[in-house]
Amino acid sequence: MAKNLRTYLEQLEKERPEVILRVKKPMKVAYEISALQRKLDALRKYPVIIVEHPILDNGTESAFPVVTNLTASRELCADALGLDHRRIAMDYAQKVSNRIDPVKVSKEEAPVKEVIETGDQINLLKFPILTHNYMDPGPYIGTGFVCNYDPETKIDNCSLQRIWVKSPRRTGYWPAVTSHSMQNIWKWWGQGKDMPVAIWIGHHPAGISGAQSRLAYPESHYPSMGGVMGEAVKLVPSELFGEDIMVPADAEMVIEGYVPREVFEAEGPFGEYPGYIGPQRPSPVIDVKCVTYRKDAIYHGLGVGLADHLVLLGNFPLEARIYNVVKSVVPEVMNVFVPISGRRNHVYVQVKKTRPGIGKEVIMATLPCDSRLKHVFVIDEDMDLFNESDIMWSIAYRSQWDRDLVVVEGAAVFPLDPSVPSPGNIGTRGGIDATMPPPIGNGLPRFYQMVNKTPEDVAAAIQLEDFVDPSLLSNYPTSS
Amino acid sequence: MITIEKVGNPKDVWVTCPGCKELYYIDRLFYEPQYDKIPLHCPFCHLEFAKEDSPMTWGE
Repeated sequence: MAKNLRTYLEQLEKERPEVILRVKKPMKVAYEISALQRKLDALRKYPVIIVEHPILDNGTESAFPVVTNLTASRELCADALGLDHRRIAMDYAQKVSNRIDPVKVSKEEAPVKEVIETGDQINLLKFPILTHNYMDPGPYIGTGFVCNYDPETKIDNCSLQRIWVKSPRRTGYWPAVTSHSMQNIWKWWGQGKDMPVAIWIGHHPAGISGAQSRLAYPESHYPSMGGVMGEAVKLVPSELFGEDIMVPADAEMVIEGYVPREVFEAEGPFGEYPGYIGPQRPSPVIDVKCVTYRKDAIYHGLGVGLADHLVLLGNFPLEARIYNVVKSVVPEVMNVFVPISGRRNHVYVQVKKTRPGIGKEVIMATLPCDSRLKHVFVIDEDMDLFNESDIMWSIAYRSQWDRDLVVVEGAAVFPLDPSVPSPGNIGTRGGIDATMPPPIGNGLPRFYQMVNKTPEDVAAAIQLEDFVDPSLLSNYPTSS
Repeated sequence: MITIEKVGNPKDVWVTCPGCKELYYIDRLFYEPQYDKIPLHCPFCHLEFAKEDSPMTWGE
């Protein structure tokens, strides 16, 4: 059976039912579901959450359940992709590059066409779309892949963009000024035309991850989506635009319409992935003309600004891109980790320090990989890249800021950082080389003090289980 | 233009909704000529208003 959201949920129910939190009590789509996610996130607990009885803003129960936190756990996301979560940088890129062309299926074979609504039949507000944060002006779709195409080449693009459902048939949405989606908008409007658009929601985590891959422009995302899924994506022509905009046949729902020419309206404020509520902005809108969905559609909601927003939907592709690019010029790179704590502004790079200067080479090569990367931390191979205590330890004892810090002023930065001054999106980026000096010669030690350690024979002889009842371990205090 | 510690020239402008008097912030882009006439939308009471009608504004 083709991979999709429900095959994934069925597989989880069967193989790992303990990771699913099924909420049977009614929960409001406005704030309450996000509040539950936020409380679990604070405990660093990331179950997949299914809310069976979401309550809409008008007080009625939606006919559609909500699944959220689908992409919050690094371990679960890696499992869904068939990867080891400590090797995403190396192995994810391989999947993306193993592109598999999509296959076309008929409308009759497309579950997403089970219900088709047009004109006055459309009411986006009947779907359990979440309102996330204080100051958000209303429900936002956080998991919508906005598909359009370059009118010059006809090559399609899809990208995850925030969509504010303003009324039953109109939405605002915010494509960042540097996005491929915005490039297409300018081209369509330059030709004096409204831009056609189709938004699909709900697919297998591997599918949505592949669709979010960082690609060149113009370049279709469907082959990389297939590559990450390990199978061809089934596509079906959209209702309004036919084969000009193809949509995944196995998605949960598709919203079709137009981005009217040169129409901007106030959009936001909106709590975004950095964890800050971004300002209201002038943004394009979408006039919705058609909605198709499964009879028993599951709405995929997103924990905006939480791990759910970060791990799979941005960090995995970023790690892969950085590894590929930087490794090509600094072969000593061993691994890359984009932690949720830095919310895409931070990246940790681990190197095998065989020669002087590697740390700064890595910083210089990493920063241009993505405008969101603000600070690069380079550490040694003896540290645990995935343990932030080790990153801090490296900075504390393997760096001197006057010597090891790289500061790049006047650099292009991503606009969602509240510390960036006006005007424009120009700020400061940099990194710190927190590595020890390399060995002083072939087969010789690194010219640096040794880290504390127990003599190896004693460490081997003292086994924890000989002294501690394993069942009591979880009772012991963990703060330090 | 005011100067704010750490941020310098702020890119956000704080406005007050003339209806519900709640405070929120907008991007400085609303002051660019091409966006200057777009009404603001209060995220709390959903009133649409011109930025000139904000009773109190900071950072413009």
